[in-house]
Amino acid sequence: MKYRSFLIGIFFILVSCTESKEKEKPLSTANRENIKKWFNSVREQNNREGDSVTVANMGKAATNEPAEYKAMASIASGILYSVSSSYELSIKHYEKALRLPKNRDADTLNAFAYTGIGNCYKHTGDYPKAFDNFYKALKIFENRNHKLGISSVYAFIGEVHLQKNDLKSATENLKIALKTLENDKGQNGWLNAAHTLANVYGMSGDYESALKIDEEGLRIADSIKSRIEKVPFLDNKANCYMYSGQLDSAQYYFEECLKLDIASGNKKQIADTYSNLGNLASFQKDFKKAEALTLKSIDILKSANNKFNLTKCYQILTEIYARQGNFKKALDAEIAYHEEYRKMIDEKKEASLAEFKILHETEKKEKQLAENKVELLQKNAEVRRRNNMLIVLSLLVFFILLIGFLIYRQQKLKHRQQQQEHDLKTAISQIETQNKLQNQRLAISRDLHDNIGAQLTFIISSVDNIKYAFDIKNTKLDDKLHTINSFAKDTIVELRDTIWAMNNSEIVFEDLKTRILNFIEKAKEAKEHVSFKFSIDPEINSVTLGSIPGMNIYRTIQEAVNNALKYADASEISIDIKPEGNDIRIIVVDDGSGFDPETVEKGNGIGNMEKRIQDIGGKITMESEVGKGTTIGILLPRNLTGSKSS
Amino acid sequence: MFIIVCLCAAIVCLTIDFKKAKSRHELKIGELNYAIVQMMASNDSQLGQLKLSDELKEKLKTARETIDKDMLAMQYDFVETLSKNKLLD
Repeated sequence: MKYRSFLIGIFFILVSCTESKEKEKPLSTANRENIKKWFNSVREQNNREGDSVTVANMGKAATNEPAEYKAMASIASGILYSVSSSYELSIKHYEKALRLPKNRDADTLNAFAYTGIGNCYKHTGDYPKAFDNFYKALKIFENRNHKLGISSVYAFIGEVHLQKNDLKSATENLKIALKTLENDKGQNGWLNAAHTLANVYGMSGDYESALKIDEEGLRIADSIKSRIEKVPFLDNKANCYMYSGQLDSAQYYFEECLKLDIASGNKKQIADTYSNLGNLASFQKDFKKAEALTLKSIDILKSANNKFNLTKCYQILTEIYARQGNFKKALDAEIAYHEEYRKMIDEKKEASLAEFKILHETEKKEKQLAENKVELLQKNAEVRRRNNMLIVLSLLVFFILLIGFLIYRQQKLKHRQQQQEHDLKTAISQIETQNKLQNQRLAISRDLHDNIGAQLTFIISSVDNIKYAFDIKNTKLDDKLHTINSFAKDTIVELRDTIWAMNNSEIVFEDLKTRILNFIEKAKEAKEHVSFKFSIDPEINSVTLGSIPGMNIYRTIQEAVNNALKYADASEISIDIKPEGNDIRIIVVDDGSGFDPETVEKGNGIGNMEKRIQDIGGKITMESEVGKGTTIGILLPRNLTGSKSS
Repeated sequence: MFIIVCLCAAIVCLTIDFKKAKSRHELKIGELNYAIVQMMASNDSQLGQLKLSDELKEKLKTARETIDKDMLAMQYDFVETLSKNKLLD
C-alpha cells in the first residue's frame, strides 16, 4: 500500500514538472526570438545610433537564457563599443562571448566574435592579431559554408592590406570576397567589397577598372532600390573622373552624390561631398569657389562635431590657399588643422581614458562579483559544515542516550535477576528448614513408634505370660485378657504397616502387592474356608505411588476384605487390579450376604474407605444386593505420587 | 566518525552482554527451580509420612484408651474376684 502511494506521488510530481515546463516554453521561445532579432539588427545595421538601448535590453533578456543567447548579447555589446571606437571594451565583450560554452551548432557566433576582434585590431593597427582572428573566423565560416561570412572576412582582410598600402594583396582578397557572393550581389557584403575594390583601383590609378566596378555597383543599387548604397559608388566615380582629369564628369557625379546626401540628411556625407566639390574647384583653378565650398564643409563638420573629417577639410583648405599663393591664410588653415588635430587627439585620449576607466571599473566589478561568489560559496560551505556537525552531534547524542538506556536496562535486569535469585534462595532455605523440621518430627515419630511397639510387645507377652502362668478359670477374665492381647496384636500390625509406609517415600505397586498377599495369608489362617483370589496386571507392577496413596489403597482393600469376612460371611473373595486407559481399576468382589445400599447404615468402615479414596483423587463405587454379594470398584489416576491435599 | 564507530561497538557489546546475562540467569533460575521442585517433592513425601504418623498417633491414642479401659475393667473384675474369695484380707 505504501509502495503504491509512493509511485502515485512520484507520478504526480513528474506530471506537475512537465506541466510547468510546458507553461514556461512559449515565454522562453518568445524571449529567445527577440534576442535573435535584436542581434541580427545590431549586426546588420550600418548606422547604429540608438542601438545601446537594444543592447541593454538584450543583456537583460539573456540573463536566464542558455549560453548562445548570452553570447549574442555580448557580441552585440562588442559591436556597439567598436562603433564608438572603444576597442578595448569591444574586444573584452567579444572575448566574453568566446568564453561562454556553446554547442557545436552555435560556433558561427564564435566566428562573428573573431571577426569583431579582428576589426578592432584592424582599427588599432595591430595587423598580426587582426589577421589571426580573421583567419580563425574564416575557418569556421568555411566549415559552415557561410558565404556572407566568408565574403565579409575576405573584405576585411582586404581592408587591412589596403591600410598597409599593400594594394595587390588587398585587390586579391577583395576579389575573392566579390566572387564568394557572385550569385548574391544584392547583399551589403558584396556592395561594400565592390566599393573598397573600386577605391583600391582608383588609388592604384586603374580608373577604368574602378569605373567598371562603380557602374556595376550603381546598377545593383538601383536594382535593389537603395539610394544610400549608390552614394559611395557615385563618390568613387566622381573621384576617378577628377583624378583622371575629366573634371566636368566629376562635377556631375559629385553633384548627383550631393543630391542623395541631402536627401538622406547625413551631415558627414554632405560635408564630405562639399569638401570633394571644393577640391574639384581647386583642380578647376576656381579657388574662390573651392574656398567657399570647403568652408561650407567645415561649418557642417563643426556642427556635426566630426573632427576627423574636419582636419581633412583644413588640409584641403591649406592646399587651396597655398595654390592661391595666399600663404598667410594657408598658415592660418594649417594652424586650424593642427588645433583641430590636437583637439581630436585630446578627445581620443579622453575617450581612451574613459574606456580604460570603464575597463577598470568592469574588472573591479567582476572582481567584486567573484569575491562575492567566493564569499557565498564559503558561507554555503560553512552552512554545510554546520549541518554536518549538527547531524554528527545528533547522532552522538542519540548513541549516548541509547547506550545510557542499554546500561540502565542492564542494571535493571541485573537487579531483577538478583531479586528473583534471592526470592528463590529464600524459598529454598525455607523449604530446607521445613524439611529439617519435618525430618526431626519424623525421627521423633519413629522413636516414639519403636517405643510404642516395644510397649505393645511387652503387653502382649505379659498377657501371654499371665495366661500360661496362672491357670485362669474365670471365663470373663480370660476373655478380657484375650481381647487385650488381640487388640494389642492388631495395633502392632497397624503400627508396622504405618512404619512400612513411612520408611518408603515412594511405594511401588509390587510392594503393595506383597503387602496385600501377606494380609490375605493371615486372613486365610483365620478363615480357612474362605477362598481368596488375587490378581494384578504385570503392567501395573512398576507404577509408583506416594506413601499416603499407597497406604490409603492398602487400607481400603484391607477394609473391603475385612468387611466381607466379618459382616458378609463370604466364602469367596477376589481382588483384581488392572489398567483402564490412563487409570488403574481395583475391583474387590465377594459372594457374601450383601446389603441394600438404600437402607444400609454406613459405619466407620465404608465412610473411611470413601474418604481415603477421595483424598487421593480416586473414585469409589459400591454395588450390592441382599444375598448376591458386594462389588467395590475403585478408579485411580496413574500418577498418584502424593495425597490430594498435598 | 571514530567516536560513532566506537559507540556502535559499545552498543553491540552491551546488547551481547545483555543477552548473555539473560540466558545465564535463565539457566541459573532453571536450576534453582529444579532444586525447589525436588525439595518440594521431598517435602510432600515427608508431609505424607507425617500425616500417616499423625493418623497412627490418633489410632494409638484410641488403642491406648481401649486397652486402658479393658485393663481397668479386668482389674475391677480381678479385685471383685479376690473380694468374693475373701482374699483381700
